[in-house]
Amino acid sequence: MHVLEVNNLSKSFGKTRVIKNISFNVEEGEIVGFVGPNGAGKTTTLKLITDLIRPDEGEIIINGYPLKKRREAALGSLAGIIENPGLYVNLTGLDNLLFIAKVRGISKEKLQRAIDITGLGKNIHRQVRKYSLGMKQRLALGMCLMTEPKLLILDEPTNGLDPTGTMELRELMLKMVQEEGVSILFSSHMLGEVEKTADRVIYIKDGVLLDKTVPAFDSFFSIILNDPSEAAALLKGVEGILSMKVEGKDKLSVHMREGVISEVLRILTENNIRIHDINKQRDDLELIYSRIFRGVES
Amino acid sequence: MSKIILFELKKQFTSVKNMVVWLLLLVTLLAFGSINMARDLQFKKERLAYDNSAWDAAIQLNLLLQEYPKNPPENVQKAMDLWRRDAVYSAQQRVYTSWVGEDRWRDVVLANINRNENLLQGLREGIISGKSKSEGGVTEEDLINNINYNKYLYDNDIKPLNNIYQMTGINFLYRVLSELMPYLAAVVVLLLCSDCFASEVDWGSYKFLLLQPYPRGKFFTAKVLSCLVVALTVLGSSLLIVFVIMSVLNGTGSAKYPIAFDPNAFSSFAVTQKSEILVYLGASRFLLYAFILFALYIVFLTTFACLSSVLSQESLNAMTASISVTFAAAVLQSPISRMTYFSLFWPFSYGNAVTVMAGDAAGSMLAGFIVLISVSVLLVSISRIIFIKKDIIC
Repeated sequence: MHVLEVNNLSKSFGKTRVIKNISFNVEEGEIVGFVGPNGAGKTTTLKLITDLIRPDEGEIIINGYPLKKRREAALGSLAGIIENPGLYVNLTGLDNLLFIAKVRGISKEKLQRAIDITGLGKNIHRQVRKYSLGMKQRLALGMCLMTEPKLLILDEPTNGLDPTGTMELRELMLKMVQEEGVSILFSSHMLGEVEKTADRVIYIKDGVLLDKTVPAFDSFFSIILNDPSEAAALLKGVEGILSMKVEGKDKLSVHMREGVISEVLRILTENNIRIHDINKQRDDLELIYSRIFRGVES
Repeated sequence: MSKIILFELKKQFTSVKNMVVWLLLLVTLLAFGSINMARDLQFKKERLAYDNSAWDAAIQLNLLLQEYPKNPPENVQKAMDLWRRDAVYSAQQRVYTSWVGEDRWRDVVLANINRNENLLQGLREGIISGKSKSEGGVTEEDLINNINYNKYLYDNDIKPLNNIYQMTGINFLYRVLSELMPYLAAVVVLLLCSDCFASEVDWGSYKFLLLQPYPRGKFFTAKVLSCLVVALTVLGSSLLIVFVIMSVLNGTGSAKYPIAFDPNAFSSFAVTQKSEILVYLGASRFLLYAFILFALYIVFLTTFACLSSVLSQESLNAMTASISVTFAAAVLQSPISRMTYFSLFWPFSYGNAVTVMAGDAAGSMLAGFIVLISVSVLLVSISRIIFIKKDIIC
């Protein structure tokens, strides 16, 4: 089931069209990375999904509820942190949590669980203005989780976090998906983090999505076999194979789409090519990023 | 909805900026009271010296009129009698004012009534040539107003204030409402409320607040209502605190103390001509009516601040913009007041409730109610539409 459906979304600020007819989905229990250079339209897209700004055209459906027509029901399935944790700094952490708890009718048990998740301990009674960025981030995440959202939107969640904070956040995100079945759409500049966390990546450039034209994760396979040249000839023209390279006497490197390996193995075994070893390497996200956004060929 | 309002109130009441504004208001009101108390003391000393010399002069005049001239013509005799009586009443006023050992204020008031009735009779009989006010003369209306005022005091057994600086609790409220609040309230309300929406942009907390599954309209209403509660609480509590302090120091003053108002200010929409004969109202009732209009003025200022805040992307901009507009309105109030019809519909004209009740404004109390409520509703409606439709850029 689609937890989030974005259909033909467009948005202009003045005469500048910043989002151009984009469409994508997020499935249940999926972590989707949202990647693009500065000014590509990531935050604008996330603000459109969270109804902070209104689209000129297009439709957003959250958990089956159209955002435009059933705004409250749609937002009821969603929680998010856009850009930075927008907390009330002159109130305590607990006051911030209590507000959400009261507004959304959340039980004391869930509130306590959220407090535990934040790991703030006694600091929960301090004014938020005295928190570090990491503490604010944890508090904001606790507030998000307390609402038991179907979809969590995180915009640059690791910004300003130290390595420990980043690791904790990643673990928390994975835990949320595994234990709560939450779907997460998050943007990040830290490609390593996206690679480690996301099941799928959506690329955006100049307000246009590139995920339809560039697959999220291609695969590199190094196949050790007895006759790489013959194998390369057999595999030539197979759909899904992007490039091949014979390396030495027994190695064939193949760059292919996800899921094509089974067809490759079938062709090679049927043609009596003896396979000694296969190594799979995920395409490095930085390479993909460079290829898409900087025009560098892999 | 009530939960959101309570949350908004908590935010506002824990705001350092709001606390500072509250304290500054308290200090200003206390300073106003203290300065007036000092002037009251100074006035009493000067009055004592003046009374002594005036008393001497009155006695001398009395003696002179009894001795000279002999067998004057009838009209001169009438004038001499009138001025002799005037001198007697004047001397009585001075004597009883400075009476040692017993407070003879009732005799002072009675002498005042007698003196004014004597002058009124002289005016009507043509002994005194009534000049216009602009020529510095006394008019029949002035004398009648003075007689009515003193009779009200005498009949209701109310001791008159020594002077306008005497800071009884009630006189403090009256003076503050007429002299300080028209400007001070505007600054305070705008400082308190102009950032109620814009501060969310500063903090980035819109991205937290507006993600909650509640209509934006409800958040707007909660914010405006909480602003209103905060503005009224800050102003009301400060006035109350200083009122209590002044009452403890100088007495509360009579709740029936007469304050003049123009009956036209209640019976018509526009005050085209101020009634010359004043009607006196007890201070408690006068202040009650004045505070109702003042509260509506606060509502208007709050809605104006909210509009400014909704339109701005920064608190500082919002506060600067709204205070600038109000400052400009205060500066332009004098020329605007000459444009009768414009002034009638100009909400800032109703900032001084005492002036409106006294019939010195273009609009009446009724006009004030209608204009302030209408403009407030209009401002709230515009702000609400903008808030609901606007893109949140923060």
